[in-house]
Amino acid sequence: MVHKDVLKVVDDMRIRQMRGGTVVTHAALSALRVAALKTKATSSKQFLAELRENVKYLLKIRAASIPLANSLRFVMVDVQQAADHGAFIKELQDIVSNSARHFDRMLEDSIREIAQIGARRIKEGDVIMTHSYSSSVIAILKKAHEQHKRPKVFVTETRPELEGRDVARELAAEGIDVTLIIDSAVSHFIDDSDKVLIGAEAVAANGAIVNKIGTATIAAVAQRARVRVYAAASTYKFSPETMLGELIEIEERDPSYVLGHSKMNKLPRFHVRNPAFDVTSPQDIDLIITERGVIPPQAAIMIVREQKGVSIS
Amino acid sequence: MRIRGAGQIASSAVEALQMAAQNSQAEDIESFVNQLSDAARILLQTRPTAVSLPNGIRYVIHRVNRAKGKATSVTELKLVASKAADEFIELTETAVHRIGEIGAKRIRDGDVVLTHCNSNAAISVMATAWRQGRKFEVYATETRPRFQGRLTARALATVGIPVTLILDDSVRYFMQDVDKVLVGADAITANGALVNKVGTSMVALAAHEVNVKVSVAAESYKFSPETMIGELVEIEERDPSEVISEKELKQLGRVKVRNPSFDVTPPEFIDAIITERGIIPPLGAMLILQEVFGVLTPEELLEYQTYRIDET
Repeated sequence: MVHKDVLKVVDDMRIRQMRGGTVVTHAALSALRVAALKTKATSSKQFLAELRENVKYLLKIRAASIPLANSLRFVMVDVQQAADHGAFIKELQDIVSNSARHFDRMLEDSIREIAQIGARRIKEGDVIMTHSYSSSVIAILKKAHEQHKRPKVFVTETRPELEGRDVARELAAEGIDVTLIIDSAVSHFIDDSDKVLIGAEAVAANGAIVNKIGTATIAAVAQRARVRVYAAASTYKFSPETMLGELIEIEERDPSYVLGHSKMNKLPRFHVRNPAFDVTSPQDIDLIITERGVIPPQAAIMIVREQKGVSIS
Repeated sequence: MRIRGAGQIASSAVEALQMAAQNSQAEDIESFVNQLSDAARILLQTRPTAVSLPNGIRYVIHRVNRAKGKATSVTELKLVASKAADEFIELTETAVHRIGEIGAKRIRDGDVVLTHCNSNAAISVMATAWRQGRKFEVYATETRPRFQGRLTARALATVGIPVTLILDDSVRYFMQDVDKVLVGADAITANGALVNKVGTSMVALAAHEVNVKVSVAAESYKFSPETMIGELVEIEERDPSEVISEKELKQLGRVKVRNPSFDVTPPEFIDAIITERGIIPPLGAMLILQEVFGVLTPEELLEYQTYRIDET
């Protein structure tokens, strides 16, 4: 029985209320906590089964969100271990709560650390180009601004959901110099930019970055213009699955996001494709900023191997 | 907005020049030529930044100047001017059709063609190929900010071509499935660079990375000697409200918006330019310019100098 809070989170993810992998993860953990607290299960076994159902449902919707997968894995491992030792429902509920909160904190700490490390990479007056919504990137830019480095930021609107506008709003609220542009205008402004700074939904074992559609194109443009591309990603974004040779599944979303419902109905004669993410190859990434330090994409395998140690049943 | 195409603006101006020539009261050749130059100058002010217009004017003036030395009467020169004007006007009416016929040969069965924005010349190529029985499909980018790609998708779908609409920046994602890229042109510079709707250079770069050839469908009057080198072209920036409404922008706080209308694609990303006179490599741009519009003297160049490209 999937809890209604979990259903709501998944719906929000679908209906574009969610911004970025980190935000999604926080929301999912929150919903899971509530689901655990409000359980109607009468035995630990039932509780576990219910929890697993909720977790499966969450994972189904956002295939590319590795921090989500990692966080749920983190919680499940703790809960499973306790259940194996004969814990009662009340104890299991506490474990879900504490474990989820623990992961939340780790995620927040990692972003704070990334902000510190990333801000060091930003020079006075740097012009930075960014794409889509990333909590890590926003944190870095805010930090750099706090340090009086006065970065100027180009924010791509990021079709189809236009989450770039949210990024612009947040940065402007801090007093950061922000300019909103359409995604296509990246080539035009790349020569005025000092760096491209993007987030990541997932980092693969070979250092490739899965991120919002358009990232691969922007990285290519930057490479061609000899502008450095930095990806900010906490280690929870590194994906153990890719080590086993699995290709990260790119979800294709509802075409009505591209065309709008009314237009879709009026013009049925052409197709619309709306892949949500793309893969930026490691050659187009110069640096990955993690909470443990800065690494070249080639070193991603080292972090991925560590993540592998925490496996889900 | 796009009320009239580039060709129509140019032909209107040339018609006016034709009338000025026919109605001239000049008594000698020198006065006639001066009068015509004056008329030309006035016409150039009307749409100072449209590429096709100065080309149309130049088409007529070039031929008048060439005939000037051998002409024995004003009437003779008037005839040259009138004939040149008619030729150019006809050119604007037939160029797109001719480009379709020449370009259609480049599309093969089973091709996946990617296109950007809304170009009559590019659509002509695809529609002609389809009518000739070629079976292929098209990916059309939606083309922000005004979603002109939807017009292209609709036009192609109406002819029966299978079309898929995609986001502008998903071109890298889809490029592995694409066989060729076909776009139109707002202007071709003297060094063979392409000035076209913003996003074009991104498309061309993505194509270049995976060795997909980029063809440009461009009428000869899109070739612009004023834009000597692509990088010097001043790109027009349009109203930010095309990107985001004033109300929504206010809600974001202190956020600036920039809305460049075009970008420049360097010649090395272009494989071929399909003109109504045939297919040329980008570096052959100067040939077209010379053949059609004559070699520009430095004085003429200074006179007709327009480094900004206007969207027509």
